[in-house]
This record gives sequence, structure tokens and C-alpha cells, in this order.
Amino acid sequence: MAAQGRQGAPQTAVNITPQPWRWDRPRVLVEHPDEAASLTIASGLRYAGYAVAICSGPLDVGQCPLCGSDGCATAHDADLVVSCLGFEREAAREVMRALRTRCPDVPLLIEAPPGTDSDLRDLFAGCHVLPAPATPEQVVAAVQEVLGKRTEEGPGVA
Amino acid sequence: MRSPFHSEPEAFHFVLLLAAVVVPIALAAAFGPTWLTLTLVAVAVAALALRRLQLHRATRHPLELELKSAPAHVGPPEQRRILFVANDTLNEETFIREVEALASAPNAHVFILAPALISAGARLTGDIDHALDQARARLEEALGRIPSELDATGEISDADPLKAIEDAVATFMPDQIIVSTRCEQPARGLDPQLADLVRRRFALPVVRLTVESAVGAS
Repeated sequence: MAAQGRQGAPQTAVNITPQPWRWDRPRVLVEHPDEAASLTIASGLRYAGYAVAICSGPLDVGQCPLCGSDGCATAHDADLVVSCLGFEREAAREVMRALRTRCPDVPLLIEAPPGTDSDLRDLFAGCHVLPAPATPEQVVAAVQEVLGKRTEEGPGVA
Repeated sequence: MRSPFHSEPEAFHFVLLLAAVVVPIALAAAFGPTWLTLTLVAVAVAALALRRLQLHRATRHPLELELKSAPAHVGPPEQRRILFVANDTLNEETFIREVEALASAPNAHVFILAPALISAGARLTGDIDHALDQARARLEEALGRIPSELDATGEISDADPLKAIEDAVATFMPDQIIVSTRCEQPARGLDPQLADLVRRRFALPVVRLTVESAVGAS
């Protein structure tokens, strides 16, 4: 199994087993296929006061634990999920659908290019969308904005 | 490898397992034919070897990985917390220079973690004092060579290096991890692959500092 990044860069094959969070809230799960970019975003989020987890996303349809019977403890217990998986692949869309249905109380911040198709527009309804490409600073600012709003509105409001 | 006497339940399970292996062998030896005794001993040895191989592979080539994660930064934004992990390279000039260089930066806090080099056999028998004393002596010497005005502290650990690093990340909450090892696996030293394992586990910048005696770092 060899995972493929958004830019087509091959990644080391691993079988991801999400574990419960070890760190205190607030917690942000960053889904990003590029390791260096996700580490930069994670660093910015850490300095902004958030515990972070990074997931490179599934290689193919049906491979994300969130879509299977195991579920994903990391996604369930996150205060926010940042999804930068790129939605041209069905595997990424499947993760998004699973997030919407299985973790309905977890807000989603999606980095997506403008001019998405109607399927994606339906999928993104109610999510916080950040126009792609976004810099790590823009992602951190958007997370702060969403979680700030969420705190003001109270828990359970996406 | 954890000591089977690490906790009461683990010790109980170990004794139970031991009894399950030894009792049939003893009974076969006392009342059964020789071939049965030898077969049981061979099965027990093969099971032990298989389990050891399995654990070895799981440590070196984890097929399943947790997601990378990291706690939030603590302290003011300008503060930089650096976790060094070393044992057999603690007193190499290259290592000391690297600690000094990073600890000299404004608002830098350095913590040196020295996981004791405890063999699987020593863990099994609980004979870990020598390894702990050795790690303590190396750490004290290293800290003694670092100028006192720099913010550098340290601690030894009797846990497996990865577990020790996990604990240190939870308590020290570093912004960066530097793992110091030899280029190749020494007879008694940290695994050169440790940095890769740490990199796969934490959402933090991880640097491998390769130290050779009186040569240099990469």
C-alpha cells in the first residue's frame, strides 16, 4: 500500500490506528496529505493554544477508520477538524461524509478551492469553508475564529 | 520490554503463564515418556522465541501507527522548549555544544531526557540499578559541563525510550525534540532509528543528532 499525497508525492504506507487524545482541550485534528505542511499548521495551532493531531487521510475509499466499524476516537473527541484533503478524490469525499454524519457536533473547517461542484457544495453546507490555497497563518486564524464563535454560542453548535 | 513484575496484575499473569508452561513439563518429566517432555519443552521454547520476534518486529517496524499528536505550547509565545533525548552520547562534545547553542537562545528551556539502557533480560529480572546509575552519572556529568546560567535541566528514566519520551512530552510539553544517537547501533546505546519512531508519533519537529566519538554531527 503506498499512499499518494495531494501533489502526487508518494508517502510511506502505514495503517493508521487513531487513539484517544492524550492532551487537554481545546483539540484540533488536522487532515492534510502533505506532512511538512501539516506540521507547519500544527506548529501554528500549538502556539495559538491548541493540542493537535495530524492525519494524512486515507489512500483509498473505505480505508479511513472513521468510515468503518472502528470509528475514529481522535475525530470524535476533537473540538474542531480542519480538512485539507483535497476533494477531487472520492476517498476524501467519503471522509467528509463520515465526519458530517458520525461527528455532527464537531465543527469542520474545510480548505477547498472556489468553484466546487454541486455535490461538494451540498457536502460543505453548514461547514466553515476556507478558500484554497490557504496559508498556515490563515488556517490558524480561521480555527481561532470558529472556536471563538463556538465558545460564544455554546457547545454543540457547528 | 516491560518487566512482568511491573504491577501486581502483570506479576499474577506472569506467574500463571509460568505455571501453565512448567507444570505440564514437570508432570510429563515425572510420569510421562521422555519424548513428551522434550516435545513440551520444544513447544515452550518455540513459543517464547516467536513472541520475542513478534515484539522485536513490532518495535522496529510498526505496521500500525497512532496519529501524530502534540500538546499545546505552554508559556509565552516567544518561549521555546527543547527536549533532548540521549544516553550513550550525553558526554560527547558535539552533544554538549548543540545543547549550549540551543539553550543560549533567548527564552529557551532545555530538558535532557536520559532513558536508561536496560536490556530485555535485565528488565525481566529487575536488575536495572546499574543501567540507572550509568544514565544518572552520564546526565550529571553532561549537566555539569553546561554553563549554569543556561536553562537546562534533565532527568533519567527507567522506561522504554519511546515511553519515556511520551511521558516527557506530556510533562515538559516541548516545541522540538532532538534525539541524539550514534550513526550505527552500538552494543550499548540508543537505537539509531529512535528519531524516526518519535517522528511518526508526535506532531512536533524532530531532529536526529548523529554523534560519533570526537568526529561530528549530521
